[in-house]
Amino acid sequence: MDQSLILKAENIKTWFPVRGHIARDGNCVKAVDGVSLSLYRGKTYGLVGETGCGKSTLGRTLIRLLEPTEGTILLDGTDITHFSPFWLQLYRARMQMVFQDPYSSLDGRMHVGDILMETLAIQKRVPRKERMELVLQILTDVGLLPEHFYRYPHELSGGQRQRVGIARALLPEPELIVCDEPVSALDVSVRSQIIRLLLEQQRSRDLCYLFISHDMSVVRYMADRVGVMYLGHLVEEADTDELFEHPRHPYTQVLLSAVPTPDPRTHRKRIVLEGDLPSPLDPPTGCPFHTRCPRSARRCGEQMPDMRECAPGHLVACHFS
Amino acid sequence: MTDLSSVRRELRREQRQLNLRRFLRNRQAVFGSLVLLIMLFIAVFAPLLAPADPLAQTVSNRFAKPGTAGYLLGADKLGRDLLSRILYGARVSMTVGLSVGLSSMLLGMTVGLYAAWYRTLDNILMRICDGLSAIPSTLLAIALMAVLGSSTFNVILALSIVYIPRMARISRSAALVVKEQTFIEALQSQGAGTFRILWVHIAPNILSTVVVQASYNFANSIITEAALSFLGVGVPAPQPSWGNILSEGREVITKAWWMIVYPGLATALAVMGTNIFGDGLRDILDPHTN
Repeated sequence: MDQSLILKAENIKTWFPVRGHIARDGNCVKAVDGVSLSLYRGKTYGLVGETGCGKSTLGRTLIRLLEPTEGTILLDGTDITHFSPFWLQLYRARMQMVFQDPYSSLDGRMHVGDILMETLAIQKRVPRKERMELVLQILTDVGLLPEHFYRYPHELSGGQRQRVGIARALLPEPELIVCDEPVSALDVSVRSQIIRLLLEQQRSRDLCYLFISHDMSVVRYMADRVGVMYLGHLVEEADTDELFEHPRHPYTQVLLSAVPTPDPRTHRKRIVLEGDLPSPLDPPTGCPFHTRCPRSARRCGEQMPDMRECAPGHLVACHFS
Repeated sequence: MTDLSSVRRELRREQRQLNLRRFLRNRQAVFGSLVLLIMLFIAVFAPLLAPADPLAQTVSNRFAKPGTAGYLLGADKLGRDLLSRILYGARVSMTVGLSVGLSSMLLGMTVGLYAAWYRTLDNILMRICDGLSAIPSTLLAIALMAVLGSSTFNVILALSIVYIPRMARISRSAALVVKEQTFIEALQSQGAGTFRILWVHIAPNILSTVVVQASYNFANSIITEAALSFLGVGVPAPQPSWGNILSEGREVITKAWWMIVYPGLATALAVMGTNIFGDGLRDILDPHTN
């Protein structure tokens, strides 16, 4: 098991200093506040949670697009937590990213082919003459045609653009790809195609995905292991089936109860949350979820629950489960 | 491979035709560029076009009226042919306009790009720009000319300094918008360096805004050069420029109207042409107006 470990993150905290608040100077938005997780070769780790819970920030921190305030990130045993841009350069190819918005993630002034060629030019691993060949190959790999080489991004559909985005992430031959809501901007009909493409590529290249999404059904389909985030904290983590069958954390239960079922006759009890997500500028004391938790008790507001194993491989941070 | 390169050729030709059609449909751009081309042609071929030496004095013919033999547009107080002087004056105006337009574009864009990218640099550079733009541009140019001494090169230098802050500001704000797009983050995630991101990706994306501003700078610098020469701090005396012809004409405005009217018309036409060209360019390059 340990041999296939690619990335190990411990107690990651990414805080953004707030400017312009004179009275509260020195305050930070605690976007990610102490998350630990491990990513394995050939596996998909699904990260779920509502908007603003820090999923994307965590993903960007793990591949060092952002520098964590605290914690350590080990890539294959190398501590890349505080690498300078120069040293990071050498590791960039191993961790890539697929972005949510297929429109703004491609430079509209360049041909699709040139965008991909540039990826190879940045990596400098492939001799100039062979680059064209590789790009044409990857275009067909992701289900596009060689003709698309000389197209501009605005001439492509959303799905095709996302395919270009995936091709760009695949070209450096990474081991880990962070997929930041790669299908949420796409039509439902195109979604399944892109997901199938991602799964195909994972199988043939033995890739590890960190799959960030707020769509529970997509995550259930894609992921081997799932982490649930709330307000910068990981509140529950388990293998996919275990998590969906036996959710332990009240927040996970709420999330799952909000997933629509295709069968209109089943009447599942929906748990509706009260109130809004607390501000990450001024998070609640104790358990971050206690302000909205249906099971909240006095202890929850005072003491932060630790992540503990409630079943083999099933971690949860709640005093009551 | 072979059929792919033919696809490329095909697409390129199609793109060119589209761009050409779009340009020709825009009357402002066509008119402006025509005026500009004529001016440039005159500037380059002034020695061939001018009927006489612009510096040759024939004092007996001083203040010859327009239409007198050999003086199509009249003569000045030293009997020099006004037409030749105006044609040669175009050289000064076009040189100044082009040089100032280009240098303020390149330097302003460089300042703007780096200011947009580095936060700390941003504050320093933009405060300097604030300081410079607080001084009225003609006044600043006069002050600089007083320090540098009058010559065509110094006019170019002074006007570039005057127009760089505005250009820097405009390219900075455009670059800030592009910087926030996801493809910049994608480039970072691939390990692209700052130089590549700034010059290969952000620069082409802000070029349309910058080029339009450069064309206005072109027009403005023609006017300001004329103003400087008129005030006697621009292009030094024997060399003809529209500004110093006007300046000489001021003394004899009641006797020799042509000394004011013709160089004035030339200046107005050049400035109007470039401005209209700029407007047309803006309409063509701005995707929102289409």
